[in-house]
Amino acid sequence: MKARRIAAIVAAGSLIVAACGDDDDDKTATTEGPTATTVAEEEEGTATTQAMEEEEGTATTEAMEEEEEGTATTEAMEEEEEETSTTEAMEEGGGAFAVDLSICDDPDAAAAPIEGAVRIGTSYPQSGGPAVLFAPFGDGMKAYIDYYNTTNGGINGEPIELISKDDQYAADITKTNVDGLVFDDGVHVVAGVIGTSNNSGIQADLNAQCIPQMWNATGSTAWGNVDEYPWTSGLLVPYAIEVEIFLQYAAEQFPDGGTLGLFYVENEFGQEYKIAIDERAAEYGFEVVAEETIGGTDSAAPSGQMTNLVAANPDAILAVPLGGQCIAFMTELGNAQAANADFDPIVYQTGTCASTLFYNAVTNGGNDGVITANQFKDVANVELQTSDADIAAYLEAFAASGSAADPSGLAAAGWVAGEATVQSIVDAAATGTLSRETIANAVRNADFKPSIVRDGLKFHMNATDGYAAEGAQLQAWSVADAGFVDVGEVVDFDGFLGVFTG
Amino acid sequence: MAMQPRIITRGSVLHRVGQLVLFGAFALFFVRAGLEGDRTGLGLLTDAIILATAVTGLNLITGYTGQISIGHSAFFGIGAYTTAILVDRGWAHGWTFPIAAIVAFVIGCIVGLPALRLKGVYLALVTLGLAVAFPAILNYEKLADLTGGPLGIKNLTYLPPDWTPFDGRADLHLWLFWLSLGIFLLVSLIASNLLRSRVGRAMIAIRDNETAAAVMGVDRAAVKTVVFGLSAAMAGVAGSLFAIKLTLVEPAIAFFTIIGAITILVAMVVGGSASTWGPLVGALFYTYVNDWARTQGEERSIDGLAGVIFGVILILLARFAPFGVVGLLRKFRARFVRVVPKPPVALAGDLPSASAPAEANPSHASTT
Amino acid sequence: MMLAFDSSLFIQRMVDGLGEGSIYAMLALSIVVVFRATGQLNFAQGEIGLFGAFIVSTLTLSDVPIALAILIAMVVGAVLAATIERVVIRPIEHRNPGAVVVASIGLFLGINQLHSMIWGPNARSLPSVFPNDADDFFRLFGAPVRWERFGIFLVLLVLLALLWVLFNKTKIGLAMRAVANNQESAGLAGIRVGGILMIGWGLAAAISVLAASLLAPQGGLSASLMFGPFLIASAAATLGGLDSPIGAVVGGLALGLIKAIIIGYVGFLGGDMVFTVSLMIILVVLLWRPGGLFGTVTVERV
Repeated sequence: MKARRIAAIVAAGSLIVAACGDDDDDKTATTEGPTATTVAEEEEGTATTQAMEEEEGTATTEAMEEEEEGTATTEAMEEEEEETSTTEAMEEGGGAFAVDLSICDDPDAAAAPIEGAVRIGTSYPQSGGPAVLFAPFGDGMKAYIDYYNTTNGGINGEPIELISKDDQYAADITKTNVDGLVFDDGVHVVAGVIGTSNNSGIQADLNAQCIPQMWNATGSTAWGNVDEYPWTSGLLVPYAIEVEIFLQYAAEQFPDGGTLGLFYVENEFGQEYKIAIDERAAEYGFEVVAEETIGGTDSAAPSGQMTNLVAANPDAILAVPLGGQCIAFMTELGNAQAANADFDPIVYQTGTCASTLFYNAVTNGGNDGVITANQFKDVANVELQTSDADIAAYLEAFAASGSAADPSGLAAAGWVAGEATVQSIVDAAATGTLSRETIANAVRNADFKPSIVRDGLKFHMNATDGYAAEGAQLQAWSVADAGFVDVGEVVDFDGFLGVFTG
Repeated sequence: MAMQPRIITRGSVLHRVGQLVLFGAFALFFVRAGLEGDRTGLGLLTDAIILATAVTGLNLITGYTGQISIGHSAFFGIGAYTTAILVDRGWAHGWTFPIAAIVAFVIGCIVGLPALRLKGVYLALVTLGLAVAFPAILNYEKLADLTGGPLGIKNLTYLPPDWTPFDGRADLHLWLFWLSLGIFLLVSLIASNLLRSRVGRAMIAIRDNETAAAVMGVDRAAVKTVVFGLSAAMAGVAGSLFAIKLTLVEPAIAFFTIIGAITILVAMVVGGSASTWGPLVGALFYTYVNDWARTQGEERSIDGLAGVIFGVILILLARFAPFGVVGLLRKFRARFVRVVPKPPVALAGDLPSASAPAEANPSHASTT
Repeated sequence: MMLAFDSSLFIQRMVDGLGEGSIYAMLALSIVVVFRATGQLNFAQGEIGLFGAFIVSTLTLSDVPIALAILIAMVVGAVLAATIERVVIRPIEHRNPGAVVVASIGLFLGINQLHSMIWGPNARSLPSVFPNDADDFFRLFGAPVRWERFGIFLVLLVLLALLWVLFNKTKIGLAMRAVANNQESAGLAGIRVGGILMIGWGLAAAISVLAASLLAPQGGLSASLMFGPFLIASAAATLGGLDSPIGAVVGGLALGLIKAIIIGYVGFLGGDMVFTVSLMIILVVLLWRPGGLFGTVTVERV
């Protein structure tokens, strides 16, 4: 297990090559990864005490107390970003990262202390077709900001303002919205924007304006581009990491290698999984024997695709459907398994489908044993709802927000986006100066565990680690329990992807 | 159509003055917006101008020639992708615009060929099919070397060239605004000159009565094909602007899908098809009303409200302004001023009297 | 990968294709019905059907049997659509085609968004009218055929027969044809044009409610369910001929089969290219027969 992980880390270079096609930089970035720990340790002493003192009485304290429990990763350090000057930023080797203000349109504004209420801007679909799928994310984010304002009174002595714009999932509207957020509403950060193209469209502008574009709500590997877009960061476990987790699990079941079937939606989201599989499957001894796709708006049952998968009869299947297609895929899987006795692959379905509503909607047993990965605690678990204070707090606050959305779906990710955003701002304030610069640095040097993220995982980034969330818990749906059951231990690939050099 | 202009006759000079005042008011509005440089407002206004450019294209083929297209998102996307692919290969941004227009023109002519045989709803549905198929073609992995596949092409930022008075990144929004406005004016000028030419007369003749047009010796095949191409070229250039403003292209971008085709079509009808001011008015209306509807949803935190509001507005508009905002304004104006005998459209004011003036038959399609 | 031709696999693929095509065919029928009665295209056709399916879902949650729930929803959908025709579409001046298109796009947007406002953002499951457990299938030459898909296919055939009778053997059918051809002269001939238009919209709505309610059990009920199928169904209706019920059914089933064949045997094209290939086929057919496979070529009024 351990050896496999080290091998995986060493092999990470090839993955990053695939992602960006620039050899030299990747190799240096990746090999520097492991040294991150030592540098961080050295800085610990100065930073931690100060930060901890200043944060007394805030939500952070309790989060920090809990986060150490059962933590698998050794490099968990409270390297809160202290008043880092630009000279320190030049230090390489996985140490603290600091943004370089000289590339900003207006460096002074980026460094200027934020007076009064902190304003967070966001843009996500609140109307139009995709809104049903994504709007719950915004509900969760708003619920957290309200919760924080109620319990902590905000930051700078004033409630945090969250300004949400509706972009109908259209990248051009997102861009216009964000222009408005920045120039009309004067937001200090833009956080939790949904959609890869939506985020790509605003990336160059926000980085030039030096406004943090933090916790993008997609798992694209593009958000780990520390050098070119230091102000941009991603929230979700990168899809490439999910693939790694799946392959590692599949390899444990088939140590001598096996065959693999792919089923993915034909858009950027599905493509990221496919690319990762193309790069990494052979490493784990798997050969792709069937590759089936489905259109993004195709809501018919994927019968033809399933027929092909049955005909190829692979040992394992990676399924990346979107929205209602999750239900349709599992239903077809159940039908196919009933009709074909020898068709019994391990099936992994993307974590984006991991809403209990989707799984519960499958009535023919096709959902039974389907594996997925989740970086969040199982908020739909009835036992945890009472025993886990964080889940209880989330569910209570979410119910109070009046949202009708399923709390076990994307809303939970929205809650985490809200929490991570506030945490980064609190961390920045702890340095003594709350500015866009210190917020950006706090994000890039994140080291905390949002409350409903699994114990043993944390959001961790530094100069050579461009991805906050790189671990998850494998879980399988159990029809008998009408819920997810954990499979094995929490898997953490922290630092695995290094940085993206596109 | 109870409001046929009659009774008070206006001299051509006075009419011209009226047109100039109207044009001047619009010009003043845009110039002021551009000089003020209010960043947010300018972004939305640029979006509207880009949409207006595409609508101008659609108006030629659907408004004036009567060939319904629900597929202009594809031409829009072809222009956007041409620019993206060329910029990605190191071309200067500016030079990609004429290429995008040419590529879209050629593909538009090819797509226009079926229009020679298909009529009305069938043509509409085939072009709708094109709009649905287009993103799938962009996604197609065998073409990924060219199109970037589902990941698209990124980093298309077009910084203001040195010869412009704009200062690098900080003035990017101003540059994009003026560039879009310039291209829109150019496209409008081409369109209005075309309408004044023999081809323009032929177009309207085909729309109003195809059989009669054929009898009169109009080469329907040539006219339809070329106008389809020109129409596509204009949508294509709009797409180039769109790509450069957004800095990226991707198959999933709403404007390249059926949603874009519907947007362009709705903006055209809402503005007033077969009218000179229609595309600009329709695009402004569409962009700002949609923005307003979204604001209503945002302020009340009700998911979906914006869609319902906008849907209701479209329904009301279809009911009370079936010939678009321009049609409504004309109706309103007709209470005070009645212009005869020349059609009261600005710029395209002197359509040949042989064919029906635009106002006499503003329905954009021949009866089907 | 396919070394030899596997006939059982081939049958399986045909079954897949017909199963999927049945839904498209049914929706295409509703498009044809509106077109026959009014000469219009209704972009909101799929959404009206979805609205009905949500009503079915609400009813079944109150323990109304699914078959009865679907019947009730079909009636509600029909009344709703007839009202929309009367209140929204008909008052449009001169029935200006452009304005009618805009109104139906407005309906599409409005109804689509109304779903999530009324029923919330969460996906729902809908039970099937037919036996739909994992092992509810029979074998046809070795290929499993699900009773659920077979049932939908049968419903489609029954529907087609009923429509044939309606269009060809009843006065209403005759009146529809007259109205679609020329509303003015139909009115002069004593036909209640308004009533026929409302019947057209209502009937089409009932059919699309049925289609949506039969599709929903396969992948859950959500606001995005009908957009894709509506586009394919409109292509199917184009292929078959916009005024021909038999054409709609043939077109819908053909598109389902084309998809199954492409996915099964032309793997390099991928699932998303299916529509592109279908479009090419439709184009070729239309160039050969501009009114679709079974449609009548409309004579342009001069």
